[in-house]
Amino acid sequence: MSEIARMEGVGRRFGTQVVALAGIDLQVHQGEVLAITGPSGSGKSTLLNILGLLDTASSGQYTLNGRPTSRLRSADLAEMRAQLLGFVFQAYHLMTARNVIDNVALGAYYRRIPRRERYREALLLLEQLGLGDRLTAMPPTLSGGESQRVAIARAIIGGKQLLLCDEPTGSLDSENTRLVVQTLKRYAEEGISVVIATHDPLVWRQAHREIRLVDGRIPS
Amino acid sequence: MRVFAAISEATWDLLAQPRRLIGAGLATALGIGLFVAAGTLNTTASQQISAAFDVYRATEVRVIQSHSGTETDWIPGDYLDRLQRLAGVTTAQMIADLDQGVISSSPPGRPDLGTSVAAHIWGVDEGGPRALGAVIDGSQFGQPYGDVPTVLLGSRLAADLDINTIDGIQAVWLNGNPAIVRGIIRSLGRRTEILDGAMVLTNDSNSLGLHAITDEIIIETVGGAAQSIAEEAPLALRPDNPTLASAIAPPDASQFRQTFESSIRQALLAISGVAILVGALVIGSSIAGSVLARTAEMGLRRALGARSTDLLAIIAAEGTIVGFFGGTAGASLGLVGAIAVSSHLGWKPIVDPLAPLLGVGVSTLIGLLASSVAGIRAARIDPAAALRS
Repeated sequence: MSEIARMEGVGRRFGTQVVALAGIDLQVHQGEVLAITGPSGSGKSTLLNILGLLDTASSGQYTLNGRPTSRLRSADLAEMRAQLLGFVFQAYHLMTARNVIDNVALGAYYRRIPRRERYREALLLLEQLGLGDRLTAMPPTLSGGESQRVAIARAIIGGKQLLLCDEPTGSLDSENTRLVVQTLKRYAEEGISVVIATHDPLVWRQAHREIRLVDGRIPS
Repeated sequence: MRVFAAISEATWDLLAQPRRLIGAGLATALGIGLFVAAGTLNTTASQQISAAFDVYRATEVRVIQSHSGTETDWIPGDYLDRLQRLAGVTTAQMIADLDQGVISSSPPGRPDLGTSVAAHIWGVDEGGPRALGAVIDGSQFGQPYGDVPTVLLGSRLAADLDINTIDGIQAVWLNGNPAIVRGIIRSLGRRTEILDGAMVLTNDSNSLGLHAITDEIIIETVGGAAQSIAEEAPLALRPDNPTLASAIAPPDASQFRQTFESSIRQALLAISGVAILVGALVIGSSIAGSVLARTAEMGLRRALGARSTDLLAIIAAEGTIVGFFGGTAGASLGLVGAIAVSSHLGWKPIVDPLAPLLGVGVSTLIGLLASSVAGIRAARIDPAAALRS
């Protein structure tokens, strides 16, 4: 399997005292579901932020899609996020004043994909996820499971290669958790890499691989 | 292309939450409305007021006794003939200040039958009221009433005496001497202070127990002649000793108008400036509040691949749209308001077509600048922290 992301000795320090991550070596392969587990405060979200180029490593080397990221300008990082990365959050982060299909189409907006094409793909994705009848619904009217499926559609639209999910099932019941994990695994089978930070055994047990973080490190 | 994309995205955002558009737009509309209304009223009012000044003040010359003069009879009896020989003199009128007197609507010894008021009294010739541009209810001096002197009451004095109309014979007592009220002076083009007092014929002043303190001549000239008449009048009146008379002409009309218009313009522009500043602050704070409330959205957009400049462009576009539509609404309302006020006052509205365009332009620029400040703040949001919020 080819490699989409690689971390070598990555550390993240906040100020001089707080060490959020230290010496992380990690590879994410194409089409795999990788679970990152660990107690609260172990550095899972920080690791996801660095993987997602929302934060930068204080030390070490992070390579995404074969390109070292440490010296990239902010605009280049934004471009890589738009091209390669999708995000799924526990809180969904749907835009409440926009309807379902608008929210999904927004996921490809910064890839400069023409509007018509964005909406065509958004429609296709929502139909695949069983939300074809909820296109014009407003987010506050959606259930938790529906909201998270909309968020997943928004994350993968536009041919994203790496999906980063931060506690994606943290607000869902077990039935919706199962549905969301199935969806993520299906996209992994299509070649998208999925990294999930989670506490939930229902999730990490179904991952292809699990990495456990303790105090910002991966215990040997 | 990115500019159009930002405008499109900002439009969708505003349409999705129209309260933002309406709130900030109303404030902008108010500011720009005041700006356009003030500008239009400024032009209209300046025109009206200057015209009014041109009619009366710019055609008036006052001739008074100079400080060096000691003669009590410094005005010759044929003053009118002498002055009318000068080219540009329409008419002239001697006015004698007869000092303050007590005017009563009740006969002496019967204060219970009326009111007594202390007021200033002026003496004039029969042509005096016309020369002063008086509008009178009743009749002029020209109709004597036997041996009893006649009087014209200023409208404010008449009101104090509770004499509101002239029905039949109306008598008053000046310093205890009877006089017949011929009319009530409703308005005056010159010497409007006479509305607070009364006017009698100078020839009657002795029989009314009144004595002149000072005399002066008001000369009415044709437009533009006031300055030259002021130079010639003392010599025309007293060729033997012109230094006895001193003529006062109004400032040059065009300079006076410019000064006056400039003062009005500055005052109204100051008001407009404050209104626009308020509008800018409201747009700025409204957009800043909106950015703060949408911190998570800003973080999400960064996660989806937005660059800092993309966020700045969206926020600036939102402010620009609000500024444009607020300005358009304000300019329209301001114009309608100014035209309505002008019409109500009987003025012909003078609309500068550039004023509404300038208003919309200023408003759009203010929207852009005010929201750019909030946009810069949005561009600096840490996406990871924003998504945790």
